[in-house]
Amino acid sequence: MELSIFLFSFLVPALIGAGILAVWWLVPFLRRRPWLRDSIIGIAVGAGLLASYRAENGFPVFPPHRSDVWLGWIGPGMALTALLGALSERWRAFPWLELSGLLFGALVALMPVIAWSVGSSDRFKPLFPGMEGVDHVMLGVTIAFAAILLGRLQEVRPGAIIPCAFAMTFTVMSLTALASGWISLTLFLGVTAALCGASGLVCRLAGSQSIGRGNAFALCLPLVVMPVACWCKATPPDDLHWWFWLVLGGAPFLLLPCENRWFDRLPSGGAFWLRFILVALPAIWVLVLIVPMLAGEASDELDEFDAMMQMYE
Amino acid sequence: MTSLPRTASLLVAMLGSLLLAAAAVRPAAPAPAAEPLEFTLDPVHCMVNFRIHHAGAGMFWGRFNEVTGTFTTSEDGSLAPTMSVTVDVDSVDTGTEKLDRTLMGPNFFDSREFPTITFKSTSATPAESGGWMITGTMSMLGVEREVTARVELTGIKGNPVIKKAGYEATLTIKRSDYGMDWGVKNGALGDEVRLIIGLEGDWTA
Repeated sequence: MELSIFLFSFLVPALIGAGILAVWWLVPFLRRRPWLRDSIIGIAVGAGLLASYRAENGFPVFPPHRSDVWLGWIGPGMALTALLGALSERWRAFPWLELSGLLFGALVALMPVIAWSVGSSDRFKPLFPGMEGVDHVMLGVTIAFAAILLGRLQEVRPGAIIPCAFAMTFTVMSLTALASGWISLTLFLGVTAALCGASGLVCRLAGSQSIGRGNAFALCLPLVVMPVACWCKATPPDDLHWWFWLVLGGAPFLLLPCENRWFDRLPSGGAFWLRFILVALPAIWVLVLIVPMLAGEASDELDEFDAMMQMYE
Repeated sequence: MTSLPRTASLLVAMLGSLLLAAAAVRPAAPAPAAEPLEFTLDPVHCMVNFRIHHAGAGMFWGRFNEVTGTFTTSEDGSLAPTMSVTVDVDSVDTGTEKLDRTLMGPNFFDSREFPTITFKSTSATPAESGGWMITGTMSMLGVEREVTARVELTGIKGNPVIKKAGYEATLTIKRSDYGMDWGVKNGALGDEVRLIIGLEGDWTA
């Protein structure tokens, strides 16, 4: 990879996002704003993603003329979701979180309809190629469930574990996108992973604070939309199956069953690492499966024959 | 009295000979125009090769293996050809499977959303150095642009029942004109792409 691509599409965007997190952390006036605390991860990751997309493709346009332009809207979408989610934080009782999650999912699923009604094209285009009506419904339902579950999880699980779990997941997702041959998505997921890691560090410094509903909702957007985009648009090797993405996307939700008395009895450091390992295990499993694809190794008979010939020679 | 019919006979004879002479000097009917024959592209013997500047250093070559369509020309190749060509993006072949997948992906040809590249000629003019300059519409990544290719007839062979004809076309495009601009700004890959296209078609009576 060219150094300039690494620099402008990964490092600079990651530094922009990290800079936003640092400013928020270093300025007490900003740190004391609850609505900003509950949305800062979404804003920082969103800004980093937008900067990365800008370096790769320029600013996103609306309505998108190509489906990959939707990825450019994930950054602004995360920031907006984080802010709206943070503002709805006060309504904690059932069913406000559930309704917010469903509304969020429905809005994402309806994006192609909104783009179609705004745009001049007379032809309806799905969010990503090959997606039908039922796929959009499933996408909306998945985002809604992810947002609701993560929204509940962040209420009971403060601290750095949630951003760290997402950092792990997005790192392996980034490598899976690379194995699928989509360089830009690799960089977007890499920026997201780096900023989730930075957010984890900030959460660690902040002590036992919850990441907030806004940040939880915002993280669901790349977690669901980016794998769907990669599956629909890239041309992965035959050995890269759809369930790789499912395992990776589902890994952070393994934190849910960790909310039990047994984990509560553990010392906080031990519980953190145990939770992290639990999330990392499926991610590492997928990583082990994709490493041969990253190395460009094929599993056809010809290679085995070549290896035999080399041994013979 | 008897001289009149003889004069008339003479006049009739003279008129007849004049008419015969006129018929003799009448320009001949125009030769039948060269009939256009439509050739169907033979996918096995057609390919689209591309060449691009990589990392500001070497020239990188690749090709598309699946090319379908038609072209028309006359039996002697004198007629201005027309062409309609479709390239299957998934047939991209660089010799490295991993790179092929990257080229099929959204950063480049985006084959899942735009599975084909098409070219349809609109006009042809004789080139100064022989061959033809064919202008047409090339559609790639949902963007249509007018391009001009230099086309050379490489041969026509066959019999009245089956014929084969071949063309070689060369043209240069800017991939950023079609929205394929990954790596252009940072110099990872050049913008200009040279296309060298080999076409062979079959005609059956």
